[in-house]
Amino acid sequence: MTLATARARHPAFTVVEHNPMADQAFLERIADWCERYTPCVGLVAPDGLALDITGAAHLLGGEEKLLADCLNRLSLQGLSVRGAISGTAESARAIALFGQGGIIAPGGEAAAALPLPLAALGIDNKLLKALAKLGFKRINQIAGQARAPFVARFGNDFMDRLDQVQGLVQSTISPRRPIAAYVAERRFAEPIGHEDDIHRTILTLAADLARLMEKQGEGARRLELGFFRTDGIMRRLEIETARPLRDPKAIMRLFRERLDALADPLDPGFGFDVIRLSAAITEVISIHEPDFAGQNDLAEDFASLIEHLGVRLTPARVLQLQSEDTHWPDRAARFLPAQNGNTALAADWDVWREQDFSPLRPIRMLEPPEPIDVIAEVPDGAPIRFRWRRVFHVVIKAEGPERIAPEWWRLNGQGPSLTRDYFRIENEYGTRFWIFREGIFGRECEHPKWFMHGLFG
Amino acid sequence: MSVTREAFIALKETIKGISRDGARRFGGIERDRTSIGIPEIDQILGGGLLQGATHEIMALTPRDLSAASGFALGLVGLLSPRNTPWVWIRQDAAGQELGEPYGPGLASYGLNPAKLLLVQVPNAKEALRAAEESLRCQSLNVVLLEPWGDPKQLDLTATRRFSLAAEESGVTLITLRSGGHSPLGSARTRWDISALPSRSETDFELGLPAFLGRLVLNRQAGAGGPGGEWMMEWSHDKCLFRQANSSLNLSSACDRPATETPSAPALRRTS
Repeated sequence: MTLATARARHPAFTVVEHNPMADQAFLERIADWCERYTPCVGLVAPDGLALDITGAAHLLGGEEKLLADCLNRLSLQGLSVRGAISGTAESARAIALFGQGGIIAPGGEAAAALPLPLAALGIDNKLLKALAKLGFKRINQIAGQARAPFVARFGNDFMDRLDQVQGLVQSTISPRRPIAAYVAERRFAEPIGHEDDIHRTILTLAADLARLMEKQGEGARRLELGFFRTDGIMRRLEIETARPLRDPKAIMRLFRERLDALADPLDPGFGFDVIRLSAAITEVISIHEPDFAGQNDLAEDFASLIEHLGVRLTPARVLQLQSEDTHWPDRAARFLPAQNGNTALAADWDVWREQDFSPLRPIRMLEPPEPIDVIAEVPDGAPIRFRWRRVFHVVIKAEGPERIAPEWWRLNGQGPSLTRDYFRIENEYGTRFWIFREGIFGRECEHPKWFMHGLFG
Repeated sequence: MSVTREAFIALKETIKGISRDGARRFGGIERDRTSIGIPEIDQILGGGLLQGATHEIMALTPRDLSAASGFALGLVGLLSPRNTPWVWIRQDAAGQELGEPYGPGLASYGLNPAKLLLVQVPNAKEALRAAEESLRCQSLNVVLLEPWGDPKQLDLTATRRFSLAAEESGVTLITLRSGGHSPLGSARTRWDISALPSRSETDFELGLPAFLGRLVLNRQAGAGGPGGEWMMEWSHDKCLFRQANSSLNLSSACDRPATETPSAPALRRTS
């Protein structure tokens, strides 16, 4: 039916343009929520979900109860859903969409698939039409036939699909997210929402997780906390640690910090009925005995400081300096997140220092360098006075130039390509600056520009 | 006199415990002190800069901000041995205004950049939290806190918390008050820093970093200890301050005599 016809019949129609992105996002949200049943949830485009419930059904008291619970909760959220449990995802999909739904006993997939229309295979419309022209409408018309002519005409994929729907071959569900190695969860008959309850739950979950990880001698580098709301919304919090972590109290503290620092607070709505803690990335913990001076304790202490600050401020704000092997001042030092375990940074900051000379490099650098107006001796003398941030400075002492050429072996037509002449300047007041002239007059440019690059102590 | 020997010893132990605890809480008499390097200042401070306490560095005028940074980093250098981690918490505004710490520069200043943990905080509230957290970390020796301006969160309660945390752990807090003027409540010492021309033979070279430091608050030896004003140089080689009183080598263009009160240059306009 065309839109015009539909409008003619029902003038009160509201028309909304199809928004596949929003549909996809909504499906993802439902998929998140479905992780309460199993960590392995796959999307079946455009409107289905496949849950791998192998080994998970007994947690809810069997497959019947799981299916009923899932369908019930989803329809309470205002969705119209159909579901089936079967040996393969394709078979379950076919039976849910085109059959009676429900649970297919192991081995019964083929029999259940036979009466279904060919559309249940989930093949594209062109193929479906071609088959209809030949008189094939139902699966049972093809299932008993010789394979070779069908393969020759419709391709291998078609027959594979047929096998999968009949449960004759195994298929896998590709999960949306990596499945965590260690998972601990709590389900509540009565949904919880109180902050204290949530904190207590996190602590018990952390203790459970610690027991699991301890058996393998591992600790978590990344932890994920999933809150499943009764009304179908799932919230996920992640923390990263600076070292493999197992101590429940430490885990608890980090999550507490994370919860405190949330920009949009955790909204329990009508309450959370499942809370799950999983260790997404783990590492082997090497156990050190602290020595008599307590040296290991100190290192541990520092790592936990990095962790706490990182959880609160994001790891990108807790930084360590790494020295780079280059003479180009902009690149000589690099900030890296301290969390990435580079605590044993190379300490080779060999800088030329001599007793009675001023430091060669400024303690603070302006990034990017700020343009300044300079009066200097032409063509390449030291500056005499300059204006920076609308204030005039008279140069009393100037040491330089220190000529620094760009790294030509790195240049590919981008980045700074002009030679810089650096001067260490002291003004009439005693403030010390690091400024440079970009470009050599006459050779590289006609009007060299001046920049303020750093401040000395 | 029927007091038994045991009871007497026990009583003595108790008194000892009380006085030790009391000292820890109220006087900090038994705390370690770090020598600044200038005997006169050390004497006024009662033996050196008190560890496990708060010290405040202020710039006299906006022009002195980089000098104040330099002095604060000098104190960090004094207090933190080369292989101990140190923390610099700076608010984003300070980073934009004065620039980020520069590794090679810190190294040539006598500090160990490899041991620096730079914490970039978006606002004063986070700065205070991060500072308190760091002060509780036993593996540090010194925390440099650089909030921007005069945040209202930096009140007596916050600073008192710092002091308690610092006393507890023995970590020293240096607050570098970039762009700020209202003094902290519980600092043990406060320094007003202004820039000072460096000493050098000619105008074609710079001397060691120099500061004019005025000790405006000294609560180290008790309330209201003496203050003073010194011309100091940072000797990055030895990681010590030293006196730069001899105006002999001062640049002739420096129009300010050494004895001038620091309030005068503050009023002078930049031409």
